[in-house]
Amino acid sequence: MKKTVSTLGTILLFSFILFLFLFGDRLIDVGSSEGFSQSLLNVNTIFVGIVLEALPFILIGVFASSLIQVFVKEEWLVKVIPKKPILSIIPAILVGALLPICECAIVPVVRRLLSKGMPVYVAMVLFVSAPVLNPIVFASTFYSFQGVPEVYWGRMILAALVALVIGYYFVMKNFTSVLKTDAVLVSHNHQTKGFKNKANEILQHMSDEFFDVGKFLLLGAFIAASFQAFFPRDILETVGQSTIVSPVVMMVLAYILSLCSEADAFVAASFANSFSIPAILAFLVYGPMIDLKNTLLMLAYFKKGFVLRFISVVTISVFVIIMLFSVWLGVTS
Amino acid sequence: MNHRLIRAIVLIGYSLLVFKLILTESIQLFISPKMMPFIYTGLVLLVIISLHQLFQKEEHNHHGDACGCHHPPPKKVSHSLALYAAFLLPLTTGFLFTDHVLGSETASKKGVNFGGSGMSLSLTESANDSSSEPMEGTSRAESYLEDPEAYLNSLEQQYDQNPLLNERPKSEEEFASAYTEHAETILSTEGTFSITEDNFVRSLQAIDTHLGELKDKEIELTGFVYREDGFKENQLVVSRFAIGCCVADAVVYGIMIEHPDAASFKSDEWVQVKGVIQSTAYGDSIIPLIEDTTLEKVDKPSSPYVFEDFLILSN
Repeated sequence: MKKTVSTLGTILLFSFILFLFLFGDRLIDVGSSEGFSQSLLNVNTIFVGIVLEALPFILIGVFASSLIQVFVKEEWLVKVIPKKPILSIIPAILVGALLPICECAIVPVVRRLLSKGMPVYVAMVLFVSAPVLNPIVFASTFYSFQGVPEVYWGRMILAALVALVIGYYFVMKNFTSVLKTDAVLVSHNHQTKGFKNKANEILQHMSDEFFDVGKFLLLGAFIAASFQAFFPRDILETVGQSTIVSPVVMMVLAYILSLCSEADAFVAASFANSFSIPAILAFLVYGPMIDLKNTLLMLAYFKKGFVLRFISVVTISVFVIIMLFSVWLGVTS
Repeated sequence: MNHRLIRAIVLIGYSLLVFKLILTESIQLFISPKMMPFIYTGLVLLVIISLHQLFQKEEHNHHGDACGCHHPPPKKVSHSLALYAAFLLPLTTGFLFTDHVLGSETASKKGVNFGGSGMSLSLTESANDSSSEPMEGTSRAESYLEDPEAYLNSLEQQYDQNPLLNERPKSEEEFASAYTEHAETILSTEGTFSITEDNFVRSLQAIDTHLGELKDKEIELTGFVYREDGFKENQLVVSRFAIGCCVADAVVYGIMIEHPDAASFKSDEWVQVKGVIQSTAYGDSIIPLIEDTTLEKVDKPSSPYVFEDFLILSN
């Protein structure tokens, strides 16, 4: 009986999707709706847009993370990273710069690395640097802010500084167990031999992680879309110029919007009219490191206390460094 | 509950959605063309993992539980249902509401750039001091060209009051000069300059920063009708959404026009306008205005959004 229901349900589901695929766009005339349903449609368009945009990056991220899971041996990691914690931070930042991973995809990757024995201070440096310090993000920032090198260089340099601070903080504090117990993978070597078995594992991991990570993407995308579609900008503009409040406002905005770091420069550009350069940079440096989307993702794998601690440290570091930068801007010329 | 099968179907569903969007070209209602390589990659990966899930045998337990590397699906059926329902939501609404295009409602939330580029607005607001001369007129470049000495003097005055602003002039001249070439193209085109989907934002920015030089030039463009509170009856802004990488980051650009029948055009209707570049005051700044216009309703174009690499911004 149970099996029949189950099979029936599955068939129904598949038919439903097939039906949508074939006829979905002819069912409802979107042009004719008014008022509130327009707002909902706007939320939906942005929501689906964010999901579609993020999808490839999530998949690439879980692919990379699965590769690490299957191929990287703990011993190799231990060998490669300099023993002295202090020496390892800068190489970690450079490695982060080489991996173009956005801030949603970095979470499963870092989780894998931690499970494989990577020290916390190295992993968290990667966590904050990989989403920002990469050529794709630099390019989008450059295009969005041509003529304003303070922004496109500033973003990279300040982000690297924040990564340094984060690294050394975690060297000092020396956390050891930061993953939730059921997220920690018991250390062992995957003895599965042969290409076919390894491929199987990678693909299975990819599907599993897609659903694990994807549910947070959906939540974050929905919130970001609602925010974008409903929140009027002129409220923000009145606070846009103050030295202290405007970076804070931009950081909160970056947190809520949860935009992928490849795209956020374009959104930041739309605020450039109302906000000062340090505020824009606060948005561009903070957003790729911490946002609503990846907080939820982190909570899936990391202990709650650690997530809170991490967010606080990153937030304070970014804020202080932005403040120092705005003073520097004021002093030089 | 056969998770593997359900997941396979959900994954196939997403593959079908992306596939259909690409086939019908509706993908550009969500994603910029330059992101397409990523979308293709995503599609390929989706198809691979969905087929893999589909053809898996039920029990694949070669590790045993000690490994913990399986991500067990939610234990409660209700949680599983919630999980898959969540995944089905964008899938369903994606299929149902594919062709919805963002319009005035969203534009008013995001703000529409129709000139004055906020350059002068920011400056006057930051200067925040009634004793300083408010910078009228957008085109810094224009004011500068008209009387370089006075321009620089007033700037100096303002920058003394607010050190953070000292960076600005350099970038604004750079900003304006980045569009000089295109402004010259517009000027040198015989007859009416046609603003197209390929040069939409660039053209509007060029007009805004070189208003003085481009006065009296005739242009034509297509966009949707947008209004803000405080517009006169005969005013409306012809605008379009410009997308950097995806619809979530869209920025809206437009240009104000005046036409005696403007009121009869509803917001979000698509219009084609032809007219002559002039200028007008709006708020604290001077913005481009198209006058002596012919205005006609047109069908919404198949690609309503524009995707230039336009993005040069003030500040």
